[in-house]
Amino acid sequence: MQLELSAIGAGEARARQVEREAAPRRAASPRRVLAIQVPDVSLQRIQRARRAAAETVAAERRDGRERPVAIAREGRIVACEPLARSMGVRCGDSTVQATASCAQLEVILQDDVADRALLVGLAEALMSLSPVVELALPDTLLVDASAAAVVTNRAGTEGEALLARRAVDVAADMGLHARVAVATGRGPARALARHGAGDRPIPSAETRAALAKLPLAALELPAAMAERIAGLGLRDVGALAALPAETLAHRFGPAGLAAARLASGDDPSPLVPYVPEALPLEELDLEAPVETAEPLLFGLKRVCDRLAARLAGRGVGTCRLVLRLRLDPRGEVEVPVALASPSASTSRWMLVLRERLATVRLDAPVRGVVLTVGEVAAASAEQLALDESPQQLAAVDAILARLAARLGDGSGFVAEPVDRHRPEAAYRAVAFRARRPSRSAAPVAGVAGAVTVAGAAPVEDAAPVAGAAPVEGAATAPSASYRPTRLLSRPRPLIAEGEGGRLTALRLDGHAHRILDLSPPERLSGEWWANPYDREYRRVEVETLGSCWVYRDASDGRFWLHGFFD
Amino acid sequence: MQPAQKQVLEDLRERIRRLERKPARSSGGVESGWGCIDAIAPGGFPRGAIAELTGAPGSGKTAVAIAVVARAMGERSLAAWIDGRSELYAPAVQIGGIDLERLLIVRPAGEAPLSPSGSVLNRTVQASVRQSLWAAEAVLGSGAFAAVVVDVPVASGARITSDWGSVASAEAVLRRLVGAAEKGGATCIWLSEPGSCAPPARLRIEVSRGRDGVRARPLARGVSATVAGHAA
Repeated sequence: MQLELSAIGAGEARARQVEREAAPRRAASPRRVLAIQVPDVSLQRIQRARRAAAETVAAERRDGRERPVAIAREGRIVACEPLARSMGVRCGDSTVQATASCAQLEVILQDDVADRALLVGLAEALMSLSPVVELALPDTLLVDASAAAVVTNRAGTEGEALLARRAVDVAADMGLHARVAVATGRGPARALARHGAGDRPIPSAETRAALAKLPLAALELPAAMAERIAGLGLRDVGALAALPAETLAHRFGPAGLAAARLASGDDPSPLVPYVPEALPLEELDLEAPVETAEPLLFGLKRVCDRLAARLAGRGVGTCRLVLRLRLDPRGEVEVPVALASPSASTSRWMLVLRERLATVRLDAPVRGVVLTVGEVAAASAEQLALDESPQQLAAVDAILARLAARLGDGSGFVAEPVDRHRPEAAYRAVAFRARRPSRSAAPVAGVAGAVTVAGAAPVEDAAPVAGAAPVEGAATAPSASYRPTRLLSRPRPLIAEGEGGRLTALRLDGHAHRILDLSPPERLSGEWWANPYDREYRRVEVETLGSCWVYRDASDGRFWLHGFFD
Repeated sequence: MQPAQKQVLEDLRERIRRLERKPARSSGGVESGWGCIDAIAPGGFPRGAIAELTGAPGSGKTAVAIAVVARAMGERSLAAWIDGRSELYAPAVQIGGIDLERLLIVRPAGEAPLSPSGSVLNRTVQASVRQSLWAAEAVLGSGAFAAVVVDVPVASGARITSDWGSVASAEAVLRRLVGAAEKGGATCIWLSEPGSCAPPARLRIEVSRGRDGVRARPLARGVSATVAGHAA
């Protein structure tokens, strides 16, 4: 009996073990993947830049003779425009052959770095659709489509189809043409997108059948292996999938087994998420140097659109942009641009850029622009409360830009309290941000009641600022319970006049002013390690001047006028 | 109706206006909460117009302005302070009930005019004064702020040279502020000292300090002029 029980227990344990082993396999099952391929990425990049640059040139100045473009790598043409193809240029031609076929052909060398930057920009914009986007160089992006139903609010393949359409729209907004496919697993999705067979989302059960029609090249097998398989007379994926996996494993090792699984539509490899760069930038080279603001702003709008889409994809905004204007023939001007609140909105950026550019004086025409995000921050501008107006935010942005442009950066600021006893260091200037006011930022307790007292001086009698416990120096009563409303940036010397051991008048700029009243002293001292001070402040009611804040410097006994209780 | 109830109604109207996305309101006024001031300004400090507070350097006019701005800002609105003298002391502003995060302080770079000496009577208007007046006009006209305080010393009869070299009288430049205030709808307070120039104001109050506290006296409305009183 004991034996039987233990045998049953062993059976259950075995079953549980099988379940445990199966569970990770289920968790690691291939995800639904949306693949976006940008065909001829180098060519599209050149065409996009030309379109944007041409928009900045007045129509009458365009010569109308656009030269066909071809992309070359290691002396061979790898991509060309339809116009060049119609003139006999073919991919694989040497550059000499290509230019012989088409005399006007403009051959541009492939730039892998620039192509990658273009795909990175698109990847960041696609993050608005899914948090996981993989950069599958040289021309494809893979997006996790598992949550398509959540993103699009449509179930099943309908949601995936909608997600695919949105991805194409995002690419179009970035000035790119893209092909898409939705399938199970990254390899099948990529193959279907590259070979244009992804006109509808492919359900998991149909993946093998959909792949079977594709050429072997769709699997992007290692070159040596692809050559040997082709030598066997296999031409399409279906033929490869029909072979026993063990045979391929025996012949090609692990790579052969992986190829067999991929041909069957089984690719469990996970997506490798792209981590965005810290501070993205976008640039534009103008077709011809421009001297006026309008064409420059036109080109800048395109750059802003791309940069804003990248930030929006990340779900962040910026409150500081840096615009670099490349001058013709050389030189560069940097224009910092501050925004009132973090934003990834082109319209708000353009509002500020227009104001800023209106005040920039340049020595030469502009031949290109580079727009960099100076600081990334959580975007909140689009998440307005019911009673917040976007127009008001735009108005704040505009006025800050105008102030910065006309008066210089830092001329408009917010005062932030600092825990220091030295009166002139009690606050510092920080950039103004139109933040959502918090309920806790209500007026200081006790003041509301104080201001209703008729004819009194309520502000000075208000309670001290809550939580402003000093961390430096020392102070004696009456502490910080009152402070002058005006503080002179440079204290002015006073000559004290007294009689019988008490102050009777203060002489300022040669004029004597009679003292009417004198408050108890408040002693402030500290910073012995750097710039020590030791002052005895008093509030003094002075005839003709009013209520003054006067201190006696303990180091030399001299009197100074430091402010007014105005 | 009690003043507190009036304030609640005013706040509710403001909230409804924002919900309806209506443009800045330019009617009504904001009370200071100071009995001596509100007694001579029954409607409060007008929105969409300029009110002038004048007085000696230590008279208490800035404290009155702080109280008005705090009330005009309420819990959500923004305010601006054109500090042409570079003297505004932020700790006192905070003690006065203003949320510092929502107060834009504008201080044009350049040599700040001295106060309270007779420098305001100089006929040569310094660059910072010119810039301050430009900033005041821009901020007032923006419509982004519920209250704007302008503290710029402009001598009567001064002439202001623009960036392009044209010269205009200070009075002509100040008159433009009236239009900007109407356009923006903010409560604008102009702080002045005896002997200085001010724009045409709908409300003019002279503030002085006596042994019993702050005193207020209404002045004639309208055209800018050298206010009553004397320079220090």
